[in-house]
Amino acid sequence: MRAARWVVLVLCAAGLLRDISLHLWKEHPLRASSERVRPDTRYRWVPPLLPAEVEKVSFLTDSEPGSERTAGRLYDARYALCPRIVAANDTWRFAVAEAGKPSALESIARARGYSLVASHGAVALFERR
Amino acid sequence: MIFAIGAILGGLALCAAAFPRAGSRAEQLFRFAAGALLGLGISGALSMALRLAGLPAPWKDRALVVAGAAVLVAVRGRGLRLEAGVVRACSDRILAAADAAAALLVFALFVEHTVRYPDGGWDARAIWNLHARALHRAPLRLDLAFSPEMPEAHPDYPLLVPALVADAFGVAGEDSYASGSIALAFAALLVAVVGTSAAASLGPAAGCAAALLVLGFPALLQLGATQCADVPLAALLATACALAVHARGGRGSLLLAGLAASLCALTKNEGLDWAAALWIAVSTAMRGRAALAMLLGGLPGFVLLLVFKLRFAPPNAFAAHTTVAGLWARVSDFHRFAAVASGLVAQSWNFASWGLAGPAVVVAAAWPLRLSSGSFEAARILRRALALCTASVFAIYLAAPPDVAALLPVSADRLLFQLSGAAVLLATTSWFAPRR
Repeated sequence: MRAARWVVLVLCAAGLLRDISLHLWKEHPLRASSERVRPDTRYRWVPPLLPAEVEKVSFLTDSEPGSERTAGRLYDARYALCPRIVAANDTWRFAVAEAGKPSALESIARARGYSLVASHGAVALFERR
Repeated sequence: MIFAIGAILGGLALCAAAFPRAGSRAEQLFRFAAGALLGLGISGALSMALRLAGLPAPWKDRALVVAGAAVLVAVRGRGLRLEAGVVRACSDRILAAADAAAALLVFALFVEHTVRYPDGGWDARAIWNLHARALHRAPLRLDLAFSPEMPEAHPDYPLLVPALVADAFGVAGEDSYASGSIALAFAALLVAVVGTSAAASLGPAAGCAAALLVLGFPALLQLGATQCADVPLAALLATACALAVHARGGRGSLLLAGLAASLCALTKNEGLDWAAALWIAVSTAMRGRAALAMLLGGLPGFVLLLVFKLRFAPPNAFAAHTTVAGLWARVSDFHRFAAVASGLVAQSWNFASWGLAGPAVVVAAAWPLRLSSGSFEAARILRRALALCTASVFAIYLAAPPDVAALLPVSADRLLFQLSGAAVLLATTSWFAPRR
């Protein structure tokens, strides 16, 4: 029984050390919490500008299709604009876009046949021309 | 507050009504832990049912408080009370102290992560908390929440966890730590259920060891703090397994095991596979009446799941993209077979997810059983259920349309974690049960 006890303690300790190393060292430490923004903060100004009857919004970005960055931006937009449907296409009258740089927003809008309604940092709201 | 009291009281009342008085403190603690977990699950399932029916959910909590209190009074808290003259068992102080320290550490890291990322990780924002927001913001527009135009949000996933989080949003607001608190409650109850179940069957030292093994999985913190539904599913499956092995022919425990299994199916799609696996294991080990009792316990949950799948959810993306010819090509591909097998073995030995506890649990769970008759039946049920679940995981990866090399590394740890609580119960039985 005594041997089993020490085996269990070692097994658990290895996992806990992994937890500690991951959360306190490899990730940002707690002191960075004030620098963190919630994922929907970038889009919070968008819903008041959308007409109430608009239920579907397109999503556009300049990051590589299929990349993690594209997926992350799309999911953040959905999370913020919920319960509206945010689809990765250029089908709908209104579109939200997120670019790597704010200067890229105009060219994204032009390329997909939209005009800029408003922008805030690297996030913009477009409307079909 | 009434949300939390209602959630817990309903499950405790069921445990009080289903069991006779507890024969040990560990058994009593197990019933409290299992009752609290069942209560959370029942609250989520009820909320899901009310939301699907287009009825307001808030009165559900008051109804649960009243009904739970009435049942507790009617049965005088029977199953939650100790038999007269129960002597307190000696526990291993070193293991108990290690448990407390490990739980405190994991709790602190969990809170630290939740403070930094209150909306959870990638999956939580893309699926679980997104659905919760949709249910909270537009409760009567389920068509938007289940739109097939957002396939990455898995609109066919059942709603137990999102409905529970939406209820919490209704009480505390979306900017609160509501979703993180629910994730923490499920993670804590997973540890509690596994530890107290092992202690009730095998003694306090085994219980402490089981809790330490679960706390020693780095995946507990990773998946728990990122608010994935895999932790609630792991907790509910462990509860269902524990209730089944504690039944010893008792119908009440088997009814609750069936209820817990149906709550698994209401948490994630694969939960239905795990529920079926446990039911087959119980049916083959304990025969007809036990299987029937389990089925009866799960009936309301399975009916709710059927209604959700038939009336509300769009077709599953994997199923929609599967053709008979494509399926045959994948299952008859030897290279794919080998890739799935080697990938699953590699994932189960992945230190980043499992530390050293995971491989040890796998070895102990697979070790040949030479146990006394009572422990042998418990181990046999757990082993059969886990063997069927593992075969099911293998079949999922073999049949799924995406490339195995891309799919398996990003999802296998979640599926395996769902089985981890039940695996620890089997491993501790294999280690600590009296030998033949």
